[in-house]
Amino acid sequence: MTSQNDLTLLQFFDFEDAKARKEGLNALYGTAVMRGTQALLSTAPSLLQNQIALSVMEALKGALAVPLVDVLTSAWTTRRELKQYLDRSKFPREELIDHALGKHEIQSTHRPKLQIMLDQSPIGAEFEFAVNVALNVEAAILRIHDGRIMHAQLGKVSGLGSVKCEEATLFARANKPIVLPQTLSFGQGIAVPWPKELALTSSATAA
Amino acid sequence: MAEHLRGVFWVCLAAVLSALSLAYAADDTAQGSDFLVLAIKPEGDVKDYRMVPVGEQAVDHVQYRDVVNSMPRSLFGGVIVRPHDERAELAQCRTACAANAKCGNFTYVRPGKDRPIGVCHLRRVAEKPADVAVEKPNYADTPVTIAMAPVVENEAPKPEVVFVSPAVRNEHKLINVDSRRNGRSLFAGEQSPGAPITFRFNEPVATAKAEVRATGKDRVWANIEALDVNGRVFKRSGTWIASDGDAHQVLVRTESDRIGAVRITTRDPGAVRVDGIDFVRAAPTLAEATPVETAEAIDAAEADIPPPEPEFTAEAFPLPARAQARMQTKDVAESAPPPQDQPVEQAPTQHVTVAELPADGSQDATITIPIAPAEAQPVEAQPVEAVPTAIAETTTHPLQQPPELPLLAAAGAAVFLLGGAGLYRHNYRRRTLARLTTNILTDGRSRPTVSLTTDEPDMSLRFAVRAHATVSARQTTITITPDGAAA
Repeated sequence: MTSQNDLTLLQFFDFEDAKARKEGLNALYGTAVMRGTQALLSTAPSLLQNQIALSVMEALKGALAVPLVDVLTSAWTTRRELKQYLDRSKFPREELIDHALGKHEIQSTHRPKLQIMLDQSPIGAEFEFAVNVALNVEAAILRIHDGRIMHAQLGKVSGLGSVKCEEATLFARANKPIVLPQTLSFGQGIAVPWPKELALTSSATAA
Repeated sequence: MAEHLRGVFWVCLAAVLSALSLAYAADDTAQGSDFLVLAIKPEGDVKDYRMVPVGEQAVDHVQYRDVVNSMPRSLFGGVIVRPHDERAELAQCRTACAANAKCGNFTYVRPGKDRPIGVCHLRRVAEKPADVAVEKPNYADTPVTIAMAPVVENEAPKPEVVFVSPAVRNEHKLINVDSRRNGRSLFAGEQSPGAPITFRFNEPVATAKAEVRATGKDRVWANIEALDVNGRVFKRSGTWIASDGDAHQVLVRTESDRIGAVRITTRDPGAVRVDGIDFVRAAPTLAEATPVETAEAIDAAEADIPPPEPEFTAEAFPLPARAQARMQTKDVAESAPPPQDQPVEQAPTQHVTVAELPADGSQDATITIPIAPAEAQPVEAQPVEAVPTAIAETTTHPLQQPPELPLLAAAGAAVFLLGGAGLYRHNYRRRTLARLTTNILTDGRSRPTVSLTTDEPDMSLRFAVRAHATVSARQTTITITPDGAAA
């Protein structure tokens, strides 16, 4: 069983690519929040002025260190059809269920926020980013046991996405295949949330 | 009678008083009055100066300050002054006084702590020349008065002759060497002149070698300077003279006949004595047209014996004892007895005509060295070899600083400065960047927006394990129930 935690959104968006980062920095300089922060640091040493964008990018790097598998599991757990396996009367504990998902698409959006600090004091407005990820999964078979997703078998997966700050796109990815292990193991298993948890987190739409 | 005596008494008293007043007046007149003060401003090459008027009866401080301000300044604002050359500045004063018809005497004031430039006070006629007193400066206004004979216009300048006598041996002596041939001048015993002394050749020579001997108990550093025909020093060197009683050779050599004079000085006057000086010219001239005093002896006994091979002699290699002069002695005896043949204390120089004081016992005399027959030194009878290279082989200072040391010191200082600058820059950069941080308020994962859309229905298969597969199990049965079917 190969490790499925190596692939994160950093690799998804080619964050380590120098050209991509340079383009992202240039796009970041054009945002209003960056200009405002630079204006506040106009009297600071030039070394600090030139370091703001780099510092933001380094912090964004931490925000994008999200395993892609987490995006998949977060989406699967929102599937309404899985909550039936929580009924012990119908699905005893010793039974194993292979729940097959056909071709489906997963949309995930999360919004990290950053704050520039100068001498331990916040300066300027918060930097808010919008990370959009869209994954197309050909098929997925979830092994469920005792109300927990133990492992999953994946078909072909492809994805596209973007990282935006205000209206500026810092990083973008076209629809390309994603190399994931065929079988994902989740150790002790991912618990299928009860219906009330589903209402708090997301809205699921089923065909 | 009493009145007569009283009158005589008053006359004598008046005479004494008048004599005293005249004496003071004479001193005053002898002292002379300043009529021009010149500042000796270093300008140009090492020995070049410019005499700038800075006052008449006394130094005008404003003019003097202007001269000082016109001097080049260092980076720290101080005046850049050449190393003090008192002899050169005295020469400037002497020249300025000689060029001025009103000048009869001058006073040279050395530079001091508050006075970076020396000055010359030109004075009117000085009837009573003062003694030469070159004292140590006490940085107060202690002038040094140099005596000069009155300058008479339209009169041919007299040759510079410095009085030499046993009583004033410590003065700087000048000895003229009249010979136009290669030869040697020897001095015997107490006749040996002590330093400081200058040997001036009427015809410049290519090689000059002096035999010097220390007179004290400690070794002595002797400065040797070679001067050209214009009196400019073109070579300066020195050597230690051991106090072993032996004569040590000091050699100055040039490629061509460039040496017009050789000057030997020591820190303490009279610390060394010169027993003789050899000189060789690269292109020997013809014989002298005018016969000298002992012409017969010289013509008969003199042979153009070249000096020995020039050798560098340090204090560790003293000269051997002088050999007996046999052949020359015989020749000298056959031709004519040398006049005033005084017995010499040192045996090797007994039969050689040496420079000597006049027999009339006069204290002051001008010494002119005639050609003395060279000693019969078989070892020294070697042909003169032309000096191949223009290298003056004088001893060098024993503590010669390697030329690479200043470069290494400069390179080390540059590396240190660059390293320090780099370290400071690194620390500054690190400290500055540490001021700026970026905090992640939220990574957004706590409230993600996730949706899953599919167009196909889900399917499931249920697996029920009826019997565990153990070692004792007869069989393991697995029942697969499709979704929707009865178990």
